[in-house]
Amino acid sequence: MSDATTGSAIQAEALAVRYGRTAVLEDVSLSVPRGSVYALLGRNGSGKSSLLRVLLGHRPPAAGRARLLGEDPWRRRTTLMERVGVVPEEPDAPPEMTAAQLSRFCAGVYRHWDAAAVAERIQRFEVPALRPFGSLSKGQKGALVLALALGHGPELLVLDDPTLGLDVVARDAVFGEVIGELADRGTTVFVATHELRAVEGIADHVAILHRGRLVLSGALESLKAERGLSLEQLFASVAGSRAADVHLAEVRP
Amino acid sequence: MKRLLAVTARELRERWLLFPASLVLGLNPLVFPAFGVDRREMPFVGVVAAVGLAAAAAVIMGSTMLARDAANGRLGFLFSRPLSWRTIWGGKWLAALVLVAGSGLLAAIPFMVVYPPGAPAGLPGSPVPLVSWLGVLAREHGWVFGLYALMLGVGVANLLATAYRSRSPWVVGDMVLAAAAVWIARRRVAPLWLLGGLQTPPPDLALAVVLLPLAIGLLAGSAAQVAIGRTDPRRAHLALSLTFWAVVYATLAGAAGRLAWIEAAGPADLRSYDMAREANGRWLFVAGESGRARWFGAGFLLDTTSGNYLQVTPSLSALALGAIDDRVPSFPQSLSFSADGRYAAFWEPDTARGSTALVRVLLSTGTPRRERVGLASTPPPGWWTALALSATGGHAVLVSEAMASLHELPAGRAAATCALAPGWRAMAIRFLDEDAARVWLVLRSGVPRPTTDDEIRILDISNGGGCRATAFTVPPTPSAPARPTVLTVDATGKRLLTSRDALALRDGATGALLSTLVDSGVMWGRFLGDGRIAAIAASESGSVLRIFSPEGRDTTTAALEHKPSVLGPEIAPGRVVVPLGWRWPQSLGSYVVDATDGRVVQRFHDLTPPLPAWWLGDFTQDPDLRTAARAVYLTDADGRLWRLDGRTGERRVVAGPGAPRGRRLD
Repeated sequence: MSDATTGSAIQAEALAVRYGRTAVLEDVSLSVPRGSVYALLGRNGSGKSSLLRVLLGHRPPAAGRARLLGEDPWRRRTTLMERVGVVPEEPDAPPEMTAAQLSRFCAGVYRHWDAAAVAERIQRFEVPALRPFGSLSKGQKGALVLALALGHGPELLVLDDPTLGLDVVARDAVFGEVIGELADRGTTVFVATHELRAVEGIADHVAILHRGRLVLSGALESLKAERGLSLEQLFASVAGSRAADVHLAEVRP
Repeated sequence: MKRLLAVTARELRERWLLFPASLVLGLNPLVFPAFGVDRREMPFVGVVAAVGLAAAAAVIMGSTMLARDAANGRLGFLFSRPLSWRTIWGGKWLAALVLVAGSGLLAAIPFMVVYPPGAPAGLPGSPVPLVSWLGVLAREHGWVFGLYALMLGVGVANLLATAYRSRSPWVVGDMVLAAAAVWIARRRVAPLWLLGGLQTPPPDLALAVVLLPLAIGLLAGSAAQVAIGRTDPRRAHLALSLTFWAVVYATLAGAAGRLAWIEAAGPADLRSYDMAREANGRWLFVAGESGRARWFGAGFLLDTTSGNYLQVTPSLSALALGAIDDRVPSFPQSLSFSADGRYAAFWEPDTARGSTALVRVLLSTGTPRRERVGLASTPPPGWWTALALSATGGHAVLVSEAMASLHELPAGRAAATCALAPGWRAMAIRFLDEDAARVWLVLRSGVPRPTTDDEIRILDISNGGGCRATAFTVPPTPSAPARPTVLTVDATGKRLLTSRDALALRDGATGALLSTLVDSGVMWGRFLGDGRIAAIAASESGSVLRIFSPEGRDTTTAALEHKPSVLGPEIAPGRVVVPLGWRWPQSLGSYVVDATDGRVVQRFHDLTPPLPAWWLGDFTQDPDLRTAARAVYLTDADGRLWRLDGRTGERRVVAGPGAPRGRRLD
């Protein structure tokens, strides 16, 4: 059976990304099962965002192969985006547009757009519908972008450090409510994050990137059971334990 | 289309304030007169405001639509939607088109409705000013240039902003490529432009044709920027840059190739109009417009026996923008043969020394040998630089902008140098001896003349004798007061004909009047090889050919069949060609008249002598027909140069279409 309908939602084989002569990803292979919540963990500069850019078709890999819902994201990005929702690290909507305008814009570019559901989420996240995006708080921006990413009912939701800079309440809204809800509906969620504590409760698979290489991947519970370590300890064991990483330090007992 | 319009609408929404601002600015020309500003200035003010606003809109749009969005991470919003790169690129360019054109039009409409255009000559008027303005735009291809300005403005702003915002080291590559492109364009495209090698059916669209590759490069570059670079500013910059420069350099290569093709023109590509021959009859200097470019004047030293040739055209690489007009002629103005037929010489710019170089070609060997001689202490050559070789080719006289000099060859050393007043040029040069020459100078056209008398200056220049100058004047006749004087000098330089409606025989050394041959109505006069003088003049019944003895005594008058304006060359002793007309390239035929009895001895129904361009001057003596090879050269209506052998009667094309393609001997 093809990946387009079954099997992996995301597949990477020996993937490499280079910026000029600088290699930021080398030989990364992973497979994200459909319907899973997959957490990609890594310290700053580990290559998480570069991997996401390749997976979302924003740049081609220097080597290796990437598949998103069974298709080449560099060549088939346009059609894939009908099935994929994206929440970037930095909310990137046009600053002059309000939430309502952004929803109308998206309604014009997606084949299926559930405006009512988007409006409901915007209201639930307490985002002012008529205020320009540029004047929203960081939490409101993130919430609005998340609402927009879900408007077309994606099969796969890709989040790049969605809680970076958010307060605890907003973080819980993202992870607790939304991702949990999506996972329950069978939507594949691929989240790149620092938030070990937040993902531990909802992720069923994890992968850890360290200095551009995938150093650990698999089902979270299996990994923990095999090594007898918590997620934080697993992370520290493969990605180092320098206290310079604030987010890592935050989750240590 | 729906998605493309959605992207366009988003871009416009961000910048919508430009539209009302344009309209408000456009109202200014309607308000200014209330404050005492002249109403007649308002169309100009309005045009400047509209163009300025459109340009500002182009810069704003171009610098933000892709470069800013990529640098600020905003393009990800579009690339995370089901929008193809074509939709994103097209939507942003469509927004640019609407924004720039819209703001320009909104600024223009108020004054276009109120004030009529400045009524350029020949344009149809309309009672409705707006209709007149639209007429002006349509007739003057205003919409074409508007579209170009838009594309170039937006595209260049995008290119610069992308390079700047990318912070990429490749920017250095951009700078190097830009500098090299400018250098190549100046050297290899500008000459094409100046030579008419970029002709378009409507000539005023030539600029549009030149700018087309630039516009295509910018458009294609921005497309690559979106398609390949996507959200990565550096990658986008590299894609834009490589695509843009690929288009630019492909165009430059095409232009350089075309110029090389034009430069490689041979005698067979000529439409000949000027010719000189050496005494032995083998070598010919032939010059004319090349069929490969409208204004490319090519000159060749042509071996009539083999068709092989030397190119005499100055290097086109010197013909760059800013170095045209008075400084670097685009075709040979002067080639001189030595009287013994052993040498030919012409000048070239000596760019290394900023002076003039002389190229002397030894013709007496099997393969001509050329030697380049730097002429010491001479200025760079110009349109009016003249050169003449002595009888044996051992000396040369060079007359430049402000000086005349006698040089020893092959050393190039200046044996004598004379300063000239500004505005004078050589009309004729004769060597009196191997190292003594006489130069006849006239005021260049366009130089103001103090009186209606034409002043002629005579300069004797010699090795050891230095410079000796004298002058005389030629008064106008009442029937043709504005006609310029034409000088004709005999082979020895001792006698002179001045033709200014009246024909006068003068002393070659002083200009002193020896005899007035014809009082008025003279069209042309020339010396014959045996010293006699031939002239054509108007008569009551038409035109007559008049022959005078060497002393100026009237010997023969013969009625001519037509009213020729010039007299052709002497093609055999005592026989001159009379063209039926001289409206090259329409050859009307010619006939040969015996100067002794005025009898027509031969007719050419479709051929005319290639008359020398009289404004260029006379720097080579005609070969002595008593000893020179017997050949006649005539041109036809298609610019071919025919050689008619005087002994065998053979008739063949030596230059122009159909001439044998000989080998270039450089």
